[in-house]
Amino acid sequence: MELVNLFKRKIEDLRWFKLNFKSIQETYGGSYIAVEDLEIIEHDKNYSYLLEKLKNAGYDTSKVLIKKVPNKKEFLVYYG
Amino acid sequence: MVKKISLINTPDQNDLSNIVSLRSIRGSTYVDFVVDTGSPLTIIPFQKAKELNLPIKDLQGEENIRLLGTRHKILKFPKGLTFTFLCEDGEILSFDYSPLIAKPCKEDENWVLTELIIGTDFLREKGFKLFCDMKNNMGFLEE
Repeated sequence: MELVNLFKRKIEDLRWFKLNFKSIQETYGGSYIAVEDLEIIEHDKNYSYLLEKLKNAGYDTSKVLIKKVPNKKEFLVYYG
Repeated sequence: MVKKISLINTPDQNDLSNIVSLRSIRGSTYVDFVVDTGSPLTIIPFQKAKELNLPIKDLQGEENIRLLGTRHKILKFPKGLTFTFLCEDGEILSFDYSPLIAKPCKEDENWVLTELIIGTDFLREKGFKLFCDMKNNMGFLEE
């Protein structure tokens, strides 16, 4: 049951990120963000620094959703 | 009973994604995944491999590829990881699979892969069918 509840929370975080993408992009375009419980808890332009900030704040990075937010002129294509 | 895994897509985000739990004998982690029918390979981000405590130093690096415009070294993990998904009916669905690991060639590269890419190799081996109706923001994998 705990596994299912954690799954549901992570899925809601992802859905929240995708539904609010445009407003998130206005503020955080070009950065990595960390989302937990429908909130942006940390951000940084450097991925390694973001991980460090999360660890220092006591977060378990394995349970936090981390997303790169492209700038308005960038598109995310996996092979490039 | 047919099992379905929902894929989230929204008007501003045209990818098909959801969350997967990964487990090895040494650790576990959560990561969002993207179903990418243009990718023949299933690839996990390097950070997730670290969180799983996989023996990364012992793995042999294969060819370099470009992901998100960033050079990555591809590492092959010889044993399977357990992939666990939450189905639409609230049940858990688990599979063992051996993905590749994408390690950025430079730690400070601008674009680092943070999502797990589910490629067509995974869909073929596990027998998943992919359905999507982008206009109506619907998508799912069916076992």
